[in-house]
Amino acid sequence: MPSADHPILEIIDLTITLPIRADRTYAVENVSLKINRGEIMCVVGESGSGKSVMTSAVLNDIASTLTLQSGQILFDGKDVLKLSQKELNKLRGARISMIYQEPMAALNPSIKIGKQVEEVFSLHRPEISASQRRVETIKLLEQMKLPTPERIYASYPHQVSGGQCQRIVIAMALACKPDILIADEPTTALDVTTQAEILRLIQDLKEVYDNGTIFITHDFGIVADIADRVAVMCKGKIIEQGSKEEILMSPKEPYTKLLVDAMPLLKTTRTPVLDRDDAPVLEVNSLHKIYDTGSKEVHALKDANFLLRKGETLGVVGESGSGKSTLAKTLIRLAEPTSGSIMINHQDFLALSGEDLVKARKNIQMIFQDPFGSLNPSQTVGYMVTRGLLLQGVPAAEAHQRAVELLTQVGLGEQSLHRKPINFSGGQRQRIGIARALSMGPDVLVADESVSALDLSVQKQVLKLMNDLQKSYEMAIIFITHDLRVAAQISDYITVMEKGIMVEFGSAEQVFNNPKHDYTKKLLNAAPGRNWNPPRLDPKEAARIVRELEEF
Amino acid sequence: MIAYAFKRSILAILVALTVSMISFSLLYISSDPAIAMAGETASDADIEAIRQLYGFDRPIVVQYLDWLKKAISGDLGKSYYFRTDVSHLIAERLPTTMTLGLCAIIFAIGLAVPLGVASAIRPNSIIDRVALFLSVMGQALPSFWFALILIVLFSVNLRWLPVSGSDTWLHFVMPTIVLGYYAAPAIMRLTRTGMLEVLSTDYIRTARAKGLRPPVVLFKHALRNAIIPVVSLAAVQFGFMLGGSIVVETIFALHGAGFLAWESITRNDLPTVQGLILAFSLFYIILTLIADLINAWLDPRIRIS
Repeated sequence: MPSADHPILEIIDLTITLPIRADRTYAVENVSLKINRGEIMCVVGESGSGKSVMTSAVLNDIASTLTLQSGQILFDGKDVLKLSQKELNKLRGARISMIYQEPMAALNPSIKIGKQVEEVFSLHRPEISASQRRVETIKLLEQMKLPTPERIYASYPHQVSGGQCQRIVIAMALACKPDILIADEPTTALDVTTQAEILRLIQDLKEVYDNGTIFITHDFGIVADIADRVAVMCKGKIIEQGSKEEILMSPKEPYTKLLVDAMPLLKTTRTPVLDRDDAPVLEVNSLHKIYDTGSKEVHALKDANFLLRKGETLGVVGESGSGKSTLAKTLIRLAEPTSGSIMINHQDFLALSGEDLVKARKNIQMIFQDPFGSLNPSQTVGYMVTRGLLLQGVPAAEAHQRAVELLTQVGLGEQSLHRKPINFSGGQRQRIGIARALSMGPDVLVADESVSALDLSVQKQVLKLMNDLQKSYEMAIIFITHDLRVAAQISDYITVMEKGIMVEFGSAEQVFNNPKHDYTKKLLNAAPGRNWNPPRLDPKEAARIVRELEEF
Repeated sequence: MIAYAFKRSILAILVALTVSMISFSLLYISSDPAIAMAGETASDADIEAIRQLYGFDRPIVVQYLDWLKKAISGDLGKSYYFRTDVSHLIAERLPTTMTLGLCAIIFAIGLAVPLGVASAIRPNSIIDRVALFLSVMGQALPSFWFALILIVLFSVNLRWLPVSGSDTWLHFVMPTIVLGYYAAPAIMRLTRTGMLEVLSTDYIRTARAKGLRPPVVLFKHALRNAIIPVVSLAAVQFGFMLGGSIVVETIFALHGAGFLAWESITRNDLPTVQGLILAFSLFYIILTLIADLINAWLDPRIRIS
């Protein structure tokens, strides 16, 4: 039993101030938190809630633009915030250590992996002689279940995969058997199956080392899988904390209720009509894409076949490198397919060129992944939404009218016409992206990871918007995502891709309840929080809470 | 690494060959060389004789290969003006230029890299402001003006340094400062930007979280990655110093290769110009190759693809 009376780390009334021109005064406000041995404390919150700032304070390593206002962080009877640089260096990496969100970025690209791990030994474990370090390092890499540890020891970070990088970072963090492990969204950048492995590793290691873990995440599915206790952060404050069961099954604060409600589940929401006989809007036949990198050929897309009718959505699910983005790019001819055919409204899209191609492009439009990178920062929203129409020869007044209509439909309103992307949040930007794509009145919409960069509550709203818009515009949607749970919210049909091949294709219901391919089963099993049935809010109640929080 | 070096070297040789062709064709771009050599009063028969004597009547490819063979063995023809071998002329001038270039690039790097690093560690601090001031000055101040100020101050008033010539190391002090200071701002700004970028990366945060001391984080983990673009820039700057330091060489009467190039252009001394262009281009190619190899050594992602 973790002893609640003797926490190993205690954050008391911590307040950290943001720079003057920020959107709020405090990055972290009056935060108190206790961590016990052998316990995983999940800190949940949306982006900008202050959870990362709080953990950086535990290492006394807050960014220079922030100011520590007040508070204590007690570890081992001492206030971490008052330690000298020398004392801190003894603590960091030895007794409190950290793992980060981007494993590839967390390792120095120009130093061999073995040397980077060894550095921790030479810093904090002087009893291990220089000649012994290599042996210890390889032992540690083995313990992290890394294949061929000797080879990895001598490799550079760019030579190993993302999941392996994260294992190496964890190895470095655990090299000195720390009392506290801080994990800041350690699996967000990883594939689902790799994520499941890393989560299991962190849990297993907790059993071995009996350390306290602070696990930061925005994903309640992960919380359901690994947490002992949970703290919910919002705008710099901890608004609610308690045991996993309390928070997940009976949240008290309206904001927590909303977050739990926004959690997408592995349950289908749509059932397609299987015996439609109207003509398909999109027909793809034996589509191949081979990339020639000079030294070798990469078969990124192999024999893709499917058809979609008006108003239907195909969810394309797969891990990184599975070929799902290649499919999107070849569909809209950002990349020319090597062979195969794409028929849009019975017109051979691949045979078109010049003026005809420009005209036909309005039939198939795309919404991109990154809401920040996909909008030109120097153009107004009005320009972006009307540009396509004007290029298609629509009169200016009509294009303007259409833009106003669309922006109202995506929930932004006429006043957004003259503003630039910088004035909008990530979710709002994605709405602009949707308005831009819909302005052409496309028959097919390709959405490539369009909600992946958004917070869960925003994600839910954008998914709802897409569902609603599809009802009125009846376009067919190709919805590409790495997250089966997200795919479940919008798809009629689902295909699972692996190494360029569509290994599974069927109605959403079929794929979820009766998967045929082993890989699909593996993906379903790896989805976090699949055994959790969160309490759901009545949509009206949810809308009321959103309004209240906005006013607040 | 060896495979990479081999590939780069082959590429460098190909570039050198291309440059040699352009440099060879210069002789023909201006006019028919036979007419130019024969002079204004020559008869058609004279021109024809010269054409045959010098082999200008042969196919252009044969002439190029012949010229290339000679160039490789060090024979770049005779200067119209000096009446001596061009290669001999260049070899005579090169030590001065090399000395000046080397001193200047070392001065520039020695000034710019530490300042760039220091201003990246504390952006907007006093030291950053001073560095910014120095680099704006370096960019804005014409080098001839700066050189004159130095001469007035150190040679005329204080009488510490000689005004011109290239006899002792003291003669090189002011040219080095002028030329080096001119090259320093770009290096400084690039070091600062690179350092700022690297210092905000996740792996630097990891290094701090390991408990490494700040100097170790700075020099072992950060600088090596930040310096990569600086190496390429410094190589180009150095090449520029070897070929384009005409103004500085003129002011301080250092008879280097840059000065020779300027003289030869004004004298229509085509073989010398041709030889110098070839030499300067080869410098650039060699320096780029060296910079590529240094970068590959610094960055394993270049070395191991």
